[in-house]
Amino acid sequence: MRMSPPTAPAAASLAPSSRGAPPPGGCAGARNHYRAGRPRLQLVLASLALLLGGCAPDTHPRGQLRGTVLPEPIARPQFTLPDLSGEPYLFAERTAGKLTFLFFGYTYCPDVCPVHMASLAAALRGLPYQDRQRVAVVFVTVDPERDSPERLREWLGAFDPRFVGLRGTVEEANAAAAQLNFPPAVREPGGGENYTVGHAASVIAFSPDGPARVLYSFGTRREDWVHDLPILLGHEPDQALSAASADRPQPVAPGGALQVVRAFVTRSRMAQAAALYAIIENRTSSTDTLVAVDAPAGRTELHETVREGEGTGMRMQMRPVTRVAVPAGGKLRLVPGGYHVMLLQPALEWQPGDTVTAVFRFASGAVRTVQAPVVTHDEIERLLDERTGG
Amino acid sequence: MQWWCSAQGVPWSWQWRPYPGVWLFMLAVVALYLIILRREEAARAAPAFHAVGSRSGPHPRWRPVAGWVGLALSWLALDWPLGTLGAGYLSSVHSVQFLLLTFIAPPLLLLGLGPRALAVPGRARRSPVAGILAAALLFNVVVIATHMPRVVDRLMPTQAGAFAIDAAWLTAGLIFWRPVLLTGRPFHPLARIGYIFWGTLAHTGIGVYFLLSDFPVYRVFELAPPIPGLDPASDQQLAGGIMELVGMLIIFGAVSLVALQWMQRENELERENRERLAAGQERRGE
Repeated sequence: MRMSPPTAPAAASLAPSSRGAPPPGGCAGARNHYRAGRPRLQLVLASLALLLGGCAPDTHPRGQLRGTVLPEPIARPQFTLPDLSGEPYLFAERTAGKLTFLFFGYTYCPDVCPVHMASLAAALRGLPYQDRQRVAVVFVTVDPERDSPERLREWLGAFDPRFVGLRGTVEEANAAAAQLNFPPAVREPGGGENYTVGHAASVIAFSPDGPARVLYSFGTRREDWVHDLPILLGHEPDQALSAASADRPQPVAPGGALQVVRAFVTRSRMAQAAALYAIIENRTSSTDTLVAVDAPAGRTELHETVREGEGTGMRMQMRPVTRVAVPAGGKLRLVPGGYHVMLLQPALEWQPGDTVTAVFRFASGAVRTVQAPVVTHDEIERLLDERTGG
Repeated sequence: MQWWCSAQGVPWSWQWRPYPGVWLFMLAVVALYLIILRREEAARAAPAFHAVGSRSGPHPRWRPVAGWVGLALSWLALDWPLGTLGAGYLSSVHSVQFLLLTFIAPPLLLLGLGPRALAVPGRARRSPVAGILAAALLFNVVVIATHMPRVVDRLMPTQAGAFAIDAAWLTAGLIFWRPVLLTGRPFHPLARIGYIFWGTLAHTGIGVYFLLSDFPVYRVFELAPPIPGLDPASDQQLAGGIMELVGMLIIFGAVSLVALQWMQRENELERENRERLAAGQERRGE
């Protein structure tokens, strides 16, 4: 494929990364933060890495991103494109609160697109479950003519079934790309049916708090992704980002002020029901109110668990409520034994490992969409406990 | 048009590609091989042959066949499609090339040349141990150097660089296998077995590293236009598996061959001794 030349404002972001070739794992600080150590094996591998890699100095000190830090952060673009079911996908809202990787490409791309997707997917597989739930990968096709929804689903599914595919018109894709100062996709002349499409060759990463600050050009390797993911997820500070962002105002992403930071679904002990638990954070100075939650179920209800009776006659009782306040500068915890959402007559027999799309609606008009993983009862308290980092 | 297989970053296709440099190189190797063979034949025909000659008597018919198979395998490793895939697409094919050019073709070529060509030159005969230690060391150094990511990632995208790696493998293979295939003195079979293990240390280590590494080692293969069905990490593990499995088969095959020759030689000596003893007894009995 042809890598499109960047437009002026994005020149820095689209230019090839200046990083040098990192030596192989072990030697250059290519740490895998999520894998348990195997000391003896690591010793042997480190010796071999010394031989193979020459242990050249790493050009990226610990905690420094290997992607290209943008000179100015870019706010999440406000675009809506059909997803693979044909439903409108509001990018900014659906990905709010998540570390989001956005890429414009096409499935017939012979090199850049599959290499980017494969490297990213491989790196994401190493993330713990909870972190993986905080990451979204969105792929916008720039070749809707050949990229049918079925083909996109199959192609993306080969990397990771959780990757989201969006398929609008070329003009819509280009309009979305333009919000990021990405060049428009251009169909290469000739090639007949096997034509190629020139498009931006970078993956742009939006932090969970909203804007994009880092760009990953073609040449980003799996170990670079593994190195950067903990920083992007906020597990490790990044010096370059901190320095770059200290002097300028941070754009506030839509959804950055009111966020559903965690959400999980468990199958209820009641037949034909499931429970949705979540933590909602309100960073604004005014109280908001949760008024409804939409989910793929026959009916959803906000419930409150109350204690009735005293002593041996005491029992916990659930009762429906119409609204729940989210305090200004505080959190609303939808947890077992407190407020929660009941999903009655769920559309599917959900199993742990499935994901449920839930839309939280607030009195202020804010709408937040989250992908809530289905977990077991035993896990739910630990996962909602912020102290354990669940 | 390219003259040598190198990593070009273009999508893989099964459409044949010509590499004139490979053909010229192979023609040169064949010409050199024929010259040496002719000299060997001339030497064998000369009356002084048995002064240097081999214990195995006349030149067996399988020797030229082994030599031609060695040449054919070298060509296979260097030309399309193996050469192209191994240069810029798949680490596993790169390891197949490595095995062909260092572990398989060189011993076959040397076997094809015959024992006289393998004989230790006069100068080296004075310090044979130092010679084989140097050969093993050189082989290890070449194997390590040609597997260092910085070397591979820088050389493979250029035709001259890819040629240098391929030529280094073939040359190092010829140097390494020569002492192994020497049949007579001064190399004791045990020394030869030790030499094989010492000489293949780097190869074994690199194979294990490929098998256990968390990340693709080479940028050139990781970022190559993908070939469906094989991601870079699996490809690298496959490369490690091939290096270990095939390499070990060859190493243990060579060790077994040396041990077998040693056993045959010992049996031969024992029989000669018995015959000599019996002849002595007969003479005394007369």
